[in-house]
Formats: sequence, C-alpha cells, structure tokens
Amino acid sequence: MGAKLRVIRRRIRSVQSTMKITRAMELIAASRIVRAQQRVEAARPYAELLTRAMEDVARQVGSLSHPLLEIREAPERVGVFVVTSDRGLAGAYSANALRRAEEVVAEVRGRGLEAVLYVVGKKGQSYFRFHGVPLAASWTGISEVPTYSAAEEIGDRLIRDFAEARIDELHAVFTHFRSAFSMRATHQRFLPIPPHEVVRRELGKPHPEYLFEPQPAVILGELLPQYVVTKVWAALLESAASENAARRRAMKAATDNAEELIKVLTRQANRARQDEITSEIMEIVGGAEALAQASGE
Amino acid sequence: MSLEVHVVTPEREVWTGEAQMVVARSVEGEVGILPGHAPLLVRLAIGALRIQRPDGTWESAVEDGGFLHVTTEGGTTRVDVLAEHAELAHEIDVRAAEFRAEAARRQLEETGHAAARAELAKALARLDLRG
Repeated sequence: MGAKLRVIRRRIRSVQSTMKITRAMELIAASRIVRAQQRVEAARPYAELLTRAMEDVARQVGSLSHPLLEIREAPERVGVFVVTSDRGLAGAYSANALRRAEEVVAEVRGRGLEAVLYVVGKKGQSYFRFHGVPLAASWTGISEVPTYSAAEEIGDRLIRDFAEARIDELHAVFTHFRSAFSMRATHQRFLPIPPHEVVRRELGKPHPEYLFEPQPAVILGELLPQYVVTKVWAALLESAASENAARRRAMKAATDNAEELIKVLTRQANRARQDEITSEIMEIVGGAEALAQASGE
Repeated sequence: MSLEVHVVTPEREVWTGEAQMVVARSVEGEVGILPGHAPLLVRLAIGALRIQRPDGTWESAVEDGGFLHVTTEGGTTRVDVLAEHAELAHEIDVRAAEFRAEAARRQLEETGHAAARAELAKALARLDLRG
C-alpha cells in the first residue's frame, strides 16, 4: 500500500472514532433535554401555589412590607448571579450567557455602582478569572443536572448577602429555555423582589375569619425567601435544559461534519488506490514492453 | 361538597385530586380540614399527611415541613400543601430511612445540632408512616 493511501485511511479511522464520541454526546444530551424539560414543568405548580399563598397574606394585611421587597435608596453594590456550564462542547451557550452578564455588569458600573459576581459553572469561573474579576462565590458540578439542595444553598447565600447589605440588588443572568431550538440568555431582577410578581391581581376584601399560624408577618418572612429559592431553582433548571439543547445541537453539527469529512476522505482514498493501481499497471506494461523489445532484438 | 387537594414540592407535584378530608400536622398540633373550612395559612411540622379520598380510602404521605394553605372560593375548598419534600407512603424507601435515622442519631449524639435533630425527625416520620 502506498504512503498516501495509508495516511488517508488513518485519517478516516480517526474521524470515525471522533464521530462515535460526538454522536454519543448528542444522544446523551437529547435524552437529558427531555428530562430537564420535565423538571422545569414539575417545578411550576409549587411556584404558583407559593404565589397564591403570598397574595392571601397581602390581602389580609392590606399591603406587603418586608426587607426583601424594599428598594434601597442609596445602593452601592449590585449582585450579578450568572449561570454557565461546567463543560464546553455546547456551542455558544456559555459565551451568550457571559455576554449578557457583561452587559448587566456594564449597566451596573454605568450607574456608578460596584458589581459583585456570583457564578455557576466552570466556564463562568474561568472567564472571570481570566479577566481578573473577583468572584464573591461560585458553584460547580451542578450545571448539567441541578439538585434542589444546590438551589437552596445558592438561594440562602444570595439572600444572606442581601439581608446583610453586602449587596443592595440582585440580578440574575441565565438561559431561558423556550424550546429545544430556541433559547436565549435573559436577565431578571431577583432582589428586591418586584412586588407585581408576588401580587399579580387586584386584592379583594380581607376575609374576617382568616387563620394564620404564626402571624402573617412571620409567615411572609418565610414565604419570601422560599420564593427567591424557587426562582434560583427555576433559573438552574431552565439553564440546564438550554445547556443540553445547545450541546445536542453542537454535537449534531459535529457528527454531520464528521460524516461529510468521511465521505470526502473515502473518495480521496479511492482515487489514491486507483492511482496506485494505474501506476502499477503502467509499470508492468512498461516492463513487459521493455522485455519484448529486448527479446525481439 | 368536596376538597381539591394539591400536594406540591419545589421538585414535583406529589398528589393532586379530590378528597373528603385532609389531616395534617401543623406546628400547633393536628389540623383536620373538611369542605367549607375557614381560610387558613399555617406552618407545617415534619410529619404525616393523611388524605381521605372520595371513596373513603386513605392516602398517606410524609412531609418535611412547609405550609398548609386552605381557601374556599365559589363552593370549592382548596387545600394546598407546600412542602420542602414529600413522599407518598408507598414511595418511602424504608431501608434508606433506617439508614438516615441511624446516621442522624449518631450525629445528634456527637454534635447536638438542630439540623441533626430535624434530620432524625424526618427519618422517623417516614419509618412511623410505614409502621
């Protein structure tokens, strides 16, 4: 076998084994999208019922007042909570979230305030480290399949930093999952909680016999942090669904590319083999002619 | 008249359906909810939650604390149970609960932390329910 043919065959084998990996990753991501989407759906009823309970508290006491709802008059530091992935090979998924985060940070600095970063995912961690931006906190190992306990831990930390005035606002940047083909990095204010999220409709008259245990103000003080944790949880779940969708798309493109490349290389290999055969025939014919000439003399 | 019951956790909808009666454990003690109950919002203690279905049979579950919210609107009484975690009786892994109880008991002896006490209560509530 000629050297050229050997080189091409080796490349084909190498592309084939890469393709096996990208296809496996594509299939894993595809199955995780479905699961992640189900988890996003499964988390909705709780958030809905939590909001119903808070609306009832608001109706009974006339209005809601709580530190988590209050806009601070002279804010100094603004928390930016960014959800990225731990691994690459997901197209521009993390890059898009980080670009959106940079916009939010620029906005915060434009107001003359300091941005304090909280990051989920190794991609975000290394991005900010590379740019010399210190992180207040970061979490890894949860981006692909988030756990509720991680959401609780993150939520507790963010609420504590807000309560202790280490930050005066909290903005979240995560990837909103609309469908497997459409996701977008979005930005939302988490703290102070926008009052219209908690009380969505006109409050009716208070009910005379409403029972609270403990008192409404105390209950509200427990419902609101729970609401923030629920929002962190939803952000993690939506991001995970988006990450897997982005990875599936990137890996599908890679697999398709590999297939195309194998086709091209196979054609090249065939041509190389044909060339080899042709030149062998030429040599034999040339040799035979030379022999015939020699014996004819 | 009947009750419309929703038992939810941040992770999933645990049980949804109609019922005759719901019995839960609030921090103040047991509460029984029948159709037409006055509106209520109470904190739940770690413990059992029992739901009597329209056919009279009981569904049992365990919840790890949260809120019980009762409202009546237009003749239907709605019972929302918002729990941190909840499992139906048949979903409980008895061996895992035993293991958890043992680990929590040991930790409680060593440290005396409130977290260990809560963990023990959660595990015991599960074992209790499965008898």
